[in-house]
Amino acid sequence: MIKSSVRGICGFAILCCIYFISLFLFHYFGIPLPPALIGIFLLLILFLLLPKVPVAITQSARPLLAHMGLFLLPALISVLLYGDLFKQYYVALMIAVLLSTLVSLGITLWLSQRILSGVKISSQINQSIINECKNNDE
Amino acid sequence: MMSALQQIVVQLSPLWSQNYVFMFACLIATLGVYLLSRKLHFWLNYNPLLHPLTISTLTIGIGLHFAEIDVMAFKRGITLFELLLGPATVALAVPLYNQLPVLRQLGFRVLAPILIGGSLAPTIAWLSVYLLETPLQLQMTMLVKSITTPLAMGTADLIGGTPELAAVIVILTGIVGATFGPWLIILTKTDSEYAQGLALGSVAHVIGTSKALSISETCGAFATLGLCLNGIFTALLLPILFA
Repeated sequence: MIKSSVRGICGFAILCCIYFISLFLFHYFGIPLPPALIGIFLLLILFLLLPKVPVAITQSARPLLAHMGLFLLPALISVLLYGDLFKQYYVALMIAVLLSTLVSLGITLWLSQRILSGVKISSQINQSIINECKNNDE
Repeated sequence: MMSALQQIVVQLSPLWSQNYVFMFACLIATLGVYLLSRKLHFWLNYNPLLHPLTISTLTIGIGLHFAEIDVMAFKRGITLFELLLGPATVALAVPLYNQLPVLRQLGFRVLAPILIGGSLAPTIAWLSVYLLETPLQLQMTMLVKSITTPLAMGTADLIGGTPELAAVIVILTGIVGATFGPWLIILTKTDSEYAQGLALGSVAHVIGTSKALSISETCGAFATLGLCLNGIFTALLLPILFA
């Protein structure tokens, strides 16, 4: 119990460090990418370089990913500040969101069915991705 | 070097430069509302229309209105949560890394649906807001609508959109996608779990992924892959094209 929480905190500290490094790279070099994306690449490179994925990071990633919604609330609440823009254009927004999502989801489903029907991944890979998937459900 | 560090410190500064009592009150209130709306979502069988984020945003919005608390002040109070979004987004590399074997085995057959979904949705969305004569700021924001919210906010900021608006549009997209997804699956007679997952993940991001997980675990895994890859492709491409 104590061991796993210490591990989780270490992993969280590593994630924070990676994020700060990417923020620094973003500001210092003016890289035209969202800082979080730079962080994703850094972490991915770290994973590919290490012989084994550190349990500490995967363990702390789980709750962070599951409760991403909480971290999005500040942005969603500040939409109240843009009330005027919404009032003026909400019809256009709703049409655009509904139309584009339904049409593109439909076409993507239809096309990917053509591409992927009958394709099967090996059962070993399937088992491993399913196990991972159970852990990050949002 | 110093100016880069300074900019980071400015981002962090609300954490120590405000009334702590107010800050903790805001944090605890937000956490409470969030946890309750998650419970409610669970009780209502995960209906995507009542997503915890819509319920909590509405509740907090109404609460702020009646308590006459300034939205800006409240937002400053919950800066901690906003800052945690960064590390949480970086953590997306973990599910992506876990799905890499699938990408290695299926290659282009996995990439193609993601590229189709990831480019169709923003194009149609942009066309419709363009034809409806909305301001450029809104058109730019619309381009990031189908990628995962944190990346969408960062990208919107870079290409001249509004991050906060992007967050709302992205969540709405997810809700629409997850609500109508099952019907569209029946309508298009898509019986491959892989196709269902990739389409849901690449068009309707996290909310679509939760829906995919309720179909099957394999479907959820493919949705995660679609969500991560589409997020990365879009966030890479848009700034190059428009920044």
